[in-house]
Amino acid sequence: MLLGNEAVVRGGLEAGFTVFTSYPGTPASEILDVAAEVSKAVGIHAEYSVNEKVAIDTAAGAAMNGLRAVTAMKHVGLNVASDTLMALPYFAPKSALVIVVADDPAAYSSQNEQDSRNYGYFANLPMLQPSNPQEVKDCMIKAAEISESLELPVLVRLDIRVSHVRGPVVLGDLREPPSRREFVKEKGRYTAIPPYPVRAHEVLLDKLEKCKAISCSPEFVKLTERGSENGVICAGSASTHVLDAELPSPMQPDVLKMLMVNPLPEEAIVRFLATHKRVLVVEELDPIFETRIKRLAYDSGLKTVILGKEAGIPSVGELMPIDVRLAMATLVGVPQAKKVSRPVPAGPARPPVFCAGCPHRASMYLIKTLAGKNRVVVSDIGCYGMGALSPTDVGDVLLDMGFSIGAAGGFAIGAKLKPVAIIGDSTFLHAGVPALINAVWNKHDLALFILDNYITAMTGLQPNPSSGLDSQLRETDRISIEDLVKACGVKSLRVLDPLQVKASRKEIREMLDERGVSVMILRQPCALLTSQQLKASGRKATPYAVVAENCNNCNACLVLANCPALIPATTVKGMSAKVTIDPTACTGCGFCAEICPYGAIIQGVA
Amino acid sequence: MQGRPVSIVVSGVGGQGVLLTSEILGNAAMLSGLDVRVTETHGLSQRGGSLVSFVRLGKEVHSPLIDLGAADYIISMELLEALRSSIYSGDKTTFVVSTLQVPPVTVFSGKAKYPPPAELRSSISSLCKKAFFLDATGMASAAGKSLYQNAVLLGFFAGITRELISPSEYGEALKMLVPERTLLSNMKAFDIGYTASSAETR
Repeated sequence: MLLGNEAVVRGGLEAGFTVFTSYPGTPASEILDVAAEVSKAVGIHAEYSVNEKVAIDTAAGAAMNGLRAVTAMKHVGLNVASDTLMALPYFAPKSALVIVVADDPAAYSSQNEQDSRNYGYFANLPMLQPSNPQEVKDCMIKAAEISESLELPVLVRLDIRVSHVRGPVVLGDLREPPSRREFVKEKGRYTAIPPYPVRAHEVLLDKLEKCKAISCSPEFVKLTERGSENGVICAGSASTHVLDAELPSPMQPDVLKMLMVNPLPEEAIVRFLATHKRVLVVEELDPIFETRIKRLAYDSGLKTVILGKEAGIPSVGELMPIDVRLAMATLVGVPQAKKVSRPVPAGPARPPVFCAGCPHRASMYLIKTLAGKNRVVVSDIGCYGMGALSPTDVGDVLLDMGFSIGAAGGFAIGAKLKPVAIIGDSTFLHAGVPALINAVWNKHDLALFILDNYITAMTGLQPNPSSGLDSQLRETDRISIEDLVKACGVKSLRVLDPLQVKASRKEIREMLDERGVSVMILRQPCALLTSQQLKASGRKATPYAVVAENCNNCNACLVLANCPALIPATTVKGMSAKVTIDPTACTGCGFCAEICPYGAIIQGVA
Repeated sequence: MQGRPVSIVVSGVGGQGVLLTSEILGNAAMLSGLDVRVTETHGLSQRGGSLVSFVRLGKEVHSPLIDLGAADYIISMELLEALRSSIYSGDKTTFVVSTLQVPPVTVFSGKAKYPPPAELRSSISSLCKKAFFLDATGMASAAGKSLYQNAVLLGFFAGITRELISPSEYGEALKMLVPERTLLSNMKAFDIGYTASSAETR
């Protein structure tokens, strides 16, 4: 069994891709995690890039230089890469370039539910939409062929129910990379400067026209014929619900499942429409196929009834099997039981929490107590973004990668009190640097906290330039965030350890009283990173413990820390009437000891 | 095995091994020649939050998702999470539940109370066809560590669904996925669960 994301890499290796780039983001993160892990053994180059724009640029350069390249990112990552994405098709590499994008319907780990299929049409690029890990692997191989035959990048669009699904995959042989198509200087072939773009646009549209024949080939159009006058057109994960839907057997509609969704297999669709009375288009999120298929029917003079979103296929959230089954029932005209609504059972919620030992716990506490009440706090994307949820409640505004600094600058215009921006190391390096330069240049009055934990933690501990480690975890030059901040022109810079709570308070107060751009780097490695390093070196953390006779059961530690290592007195029946600390969970960070009003928490006593 | 796929929900708290257990189950199914899909809700639900994973297996499976009320089985590693995942339970659902209680942070910080276990058990039982409650951590301790409760639950599930997958296939899947030094303990815990199921269902 392979995860869909693992199948991307496997397919890439079977197709002879040798360059993999990415910036981590759920649900696409595992792609480069796996590529980096196997890179040495199979002789590929796999790198995390500083952001998605750099990732696509690096992959494009490699492909222009004759290496087959893959770049992978989450849906919103493609927005960051979109400047390149929109021009590259005009001036495309001759070697295969595959852009893998993974959408997140229901926004399980994202700021929006955008439908990245739109990018296929927007950028005029061939787009494949596999529906399971086996198809993902196959699509990577086909994408390489199409990319080189047309000399166009190919988009492979995944979503969470493809990326994060495990399923059986038949493995093929790993392939040696094909002989390189070395870069040859050709006037105007790769230079996006007038007069070349207009002519290149024409060539691009010709290539896409040629691709229509590929799109209709049997390997990309799967027909399930049951002799019905009703039909369903679908692709990707939505098609899995269609194929599983149970209707009374003579009622089962025929199904046309597409693997290439740009260009649409127009001839095959017109044939399907012409041979069915009623056709339902099933797709998650935007009505993209529906709109195009209705137009196609109009242009072809077909009177087929075409149903889509109006048949009850939602445009919001994750498409569920029941939604599809009910719409299919409407299509074939059988009454179906209504959607089951189950009341969510009562019981205490279990929100995600900062790990035991997480330095963000201390940073959030400091920012909340010193700035959270009367100042606007703009947070950013990363583990610390969870601080915007209860019970932490730090972060009034949070939008997208790097938003915090620019937006705080906006809040600063006409603000009574200096606004606060919070950003992590990886996000700062990804999109925060230009915003900080802007803030200094335009004399914004804001306080910026850079939470430097040396790693991209939220997506699974990927190294970044602040880690001093490359994608294969080999030592490399560490980019110093303080040097970078100074180079941006910042005059007021402090570097503190957030776990030194008492010492940090005074410095933060001073910083908030200043005018202009003030930056504080709150530096402490991610607790998961620390525990990995301890484990590797065979050492153990020294946990803290509560001295029962000093504990007043005021519960300050429980309420303020929300640490999974703290055990309330009431749940340890007959054992301790006071708060205790789970010595196996405690990492010895000492935050609770810093905030205990009675000094009852001490390191190293059992 | 024929007919429609079997839908199994695995639920618990992030860090309890929900994903690994689902993967072991999925691999065991694959080894017995079944088609399988395994998926999960991820991202923000990690870090000690509620975690739900879906396993669907059968002769031919396409969709990885399970509708509300549509689970055939729900395996839960924590009592409160079992109740939470009862949204997937319907008249035909069988629960296999560890009675382990892990109070969430909302309880720690005094904002909520952990419901009485007896109340949780009766609510769960009222929302399904059949519910088995196991002292899975206690049973796992006999195999070495309470940590192996997932193998106990899986063994119990294997015991009540004998027609699906044979124990030897679970053994193979365990070999593939658990660290070698814990394999024997996991196997032992699996057997304890498997054996317990015959006593319960006789």
